[in-house]
Amino acid sequence: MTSLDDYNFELSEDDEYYQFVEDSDYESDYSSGKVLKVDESFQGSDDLRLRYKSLSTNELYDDVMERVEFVRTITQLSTDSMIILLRLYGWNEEKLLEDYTENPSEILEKGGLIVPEHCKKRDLTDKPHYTCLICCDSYSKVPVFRMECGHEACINCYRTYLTSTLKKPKAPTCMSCHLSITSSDIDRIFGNKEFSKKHICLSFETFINKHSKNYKWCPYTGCGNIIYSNNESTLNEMLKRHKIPEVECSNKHAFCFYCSTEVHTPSDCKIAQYWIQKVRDESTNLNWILNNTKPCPFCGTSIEKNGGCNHMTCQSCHSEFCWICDGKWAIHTDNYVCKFQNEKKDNTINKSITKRFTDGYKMFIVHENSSDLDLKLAGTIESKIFTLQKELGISWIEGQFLSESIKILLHGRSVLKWSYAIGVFCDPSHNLTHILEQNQTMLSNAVESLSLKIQIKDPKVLIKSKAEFHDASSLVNGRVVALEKCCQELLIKGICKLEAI
Amino acid sequence: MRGDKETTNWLNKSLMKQARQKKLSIIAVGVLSTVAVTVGYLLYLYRGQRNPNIRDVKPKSKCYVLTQDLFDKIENWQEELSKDSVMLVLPEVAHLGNHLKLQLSSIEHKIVIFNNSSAVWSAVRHLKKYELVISRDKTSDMPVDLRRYVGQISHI
Amino acid sequence: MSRIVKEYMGLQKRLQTPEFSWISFLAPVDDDDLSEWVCRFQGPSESPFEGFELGLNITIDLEKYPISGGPRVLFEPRTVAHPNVKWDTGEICLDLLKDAWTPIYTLLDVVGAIRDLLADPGLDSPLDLDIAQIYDADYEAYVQIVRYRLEEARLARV
Repeated sequence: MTSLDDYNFELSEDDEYYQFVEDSDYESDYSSGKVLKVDESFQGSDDLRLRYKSLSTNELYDDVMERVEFVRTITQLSTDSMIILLRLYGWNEEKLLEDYTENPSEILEKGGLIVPEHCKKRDLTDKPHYTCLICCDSYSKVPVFRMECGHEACINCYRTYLTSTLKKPKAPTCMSCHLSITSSDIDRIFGNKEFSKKHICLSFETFINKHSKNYKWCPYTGCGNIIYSNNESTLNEMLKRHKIPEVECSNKHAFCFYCSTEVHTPSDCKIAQYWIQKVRDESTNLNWILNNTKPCPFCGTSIEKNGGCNHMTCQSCHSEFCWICDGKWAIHTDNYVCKFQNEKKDNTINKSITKRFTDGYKMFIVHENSSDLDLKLAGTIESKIFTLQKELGISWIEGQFLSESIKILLHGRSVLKWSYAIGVFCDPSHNLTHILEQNQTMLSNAVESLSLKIQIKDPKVLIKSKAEFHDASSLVNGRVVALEKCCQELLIKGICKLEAI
Repeated sequence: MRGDKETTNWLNKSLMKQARQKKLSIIAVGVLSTVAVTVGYLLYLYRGQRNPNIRDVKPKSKCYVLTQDLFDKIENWQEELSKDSVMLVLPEVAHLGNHLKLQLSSIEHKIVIFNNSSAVWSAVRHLKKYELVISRDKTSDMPVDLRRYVGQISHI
Repeated sequence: MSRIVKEYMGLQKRLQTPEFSWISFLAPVDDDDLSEWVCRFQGPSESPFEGFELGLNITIDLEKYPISGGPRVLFEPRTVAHPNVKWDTGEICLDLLKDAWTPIYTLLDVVGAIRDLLADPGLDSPLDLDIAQIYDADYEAYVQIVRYRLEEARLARV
């Protein structure tokens, strides 16, 4: 039997933490051990890892060509024809093979691969005194591409036409009929091999859609990397155990392979997906909180939040207050519990799911916006390190504690943010739910104090606080682990259950 | 999957856009406040000039769902349908619809006779008239989402 | 560019042939700018649109036409109730205007295809779901709704 103190043993160096636990009303829960058994399965699940590889579009091209080659050996068609048919079938190899064995000529016809017999083969030849029927321009001499069907156009028209068909999933056809234009034709018209490859690469959208179980685009804006994994049994096992199949593309973008979204630890995929949908619906109603300015609660001056920290100081009246609850900061300093969270605790028992959602959503958005602002700060970190190097002669390596801290801060915020999604679906009367709230408060504290430190501008103060940075960061790390474990247990024990809002 | 990519962007914070945002927000605040002031002023002018009867002058469009009950209650259909109004005739009272079409030949195009009652509700959605006039006994057959397509429902 | 000029030059002559007698008007808004066109044509016979004249607004991207893209065509807003037409905007869902566009089509082909669409809607890709449902469930009511809308639009114009 294990007591909940296990949640904390990573934090053993942190005295303040223990003191807080001892002072807390939940002490009895911690020591009773009744509610707090840790499942065997839960302990053994840490070694689950999804096997995957990150691919660039070029690498995916090679993979796909291998698949094409494999299908080609079955059908005995040319590679060109195979690519055209696979594109026609949205890269669904099984379906294509099935249909092709049943009725090859029908499939070839559909693919525009049946070339009229006894016709002049397609060619690209220079023609003198030519008026193109498509653009109506007259040339004294121009290369003209002509297909077996007899339809032809000047090379300029063909180049524009093929460029405009780039994004279509199907292979391009003759401008006037269904006869397909092959990759070799495209290469001939453009005089290089790059273009037909581009054509095929762009059709990977459909390829990945078709094989979305195994291939996922990196969801980061403008990234374009692809993650491949065929480790389905592990994936299913991870989902079953409420673990997040986290992957990282070669640009170091981490995301959830199952949901194709940011990593949503400690929330499991089921809750995260429901949550994202719900938040998307809700964001139009509750976007008041998205606002980054609000009047100072004491003097009314408009205040812009310029860092992730929720500890605000009004430039005009010098009042210190909390961004979330507008209350005086002084009451927050010892074991930061904001009024809003207090309120939440008072009437947890009979709070409806809708009310819990509104509260959880509010906290989610607050931390989401805070991490936005922290990200903004992160953008300035490099220059801070540079200043350290220049003004104080600190080496680049020594300055890295700042980048390290910001990474930990962002991770802490993300875990905190997603833990509110878990909180919404927890049985509010259960002890472990109270412990979750405690853990949230403690992580929130740790995160806020680290965030404050990162906002320090004076390089001398910064370097002096290096040790504090280290402490604050390891505090965040420790509390992240504690919160994650708590959420895991809530999920495994079914105290946190997805219900419709 | 690319679709997902876009929709999850709000979650996936890109560093690049941050710098741009501040500049944009300054411009946006400028533009918005100009617009707000202009709109406010125009509204003010409009209110000042507005004839208090203006709402009565421009009739609200109506959509009648014809039943025996409604047919009996309204006497002057010529008058009711002369405005921007339309009548949907339920299948069970098609004969009343035909009768009215003959009687009101100049505006017979405003009378639509149905053979299928589910199509009547589709027509209400498509027509999007301001007021839906329906007899009380038919209210229960009405799909719930209909309220979103009309400004008001009058039960007669 | 020269392609649209060529279409423009031959157009009036072709419009006088019996094949296109149903088009009462097709010309650029301004003779110096071939990117904005208007068209008026008779609704196809044996369809609810018979006996009504319909208006189209056509926009041509002169950079792209005809190789990388066809014209953008809208019905006059709030006149045409049809499964493949968005009532409020007049947008038309027709494959020839989108994926199926190829450079061999001309403006006249486009107007012809739109007229065919009026008589023969494509129910697999409706823009106005309600009208599509009426068309499907109760064709006679569909005819009356279409004519109600056209009649009202005609009265509003007078």
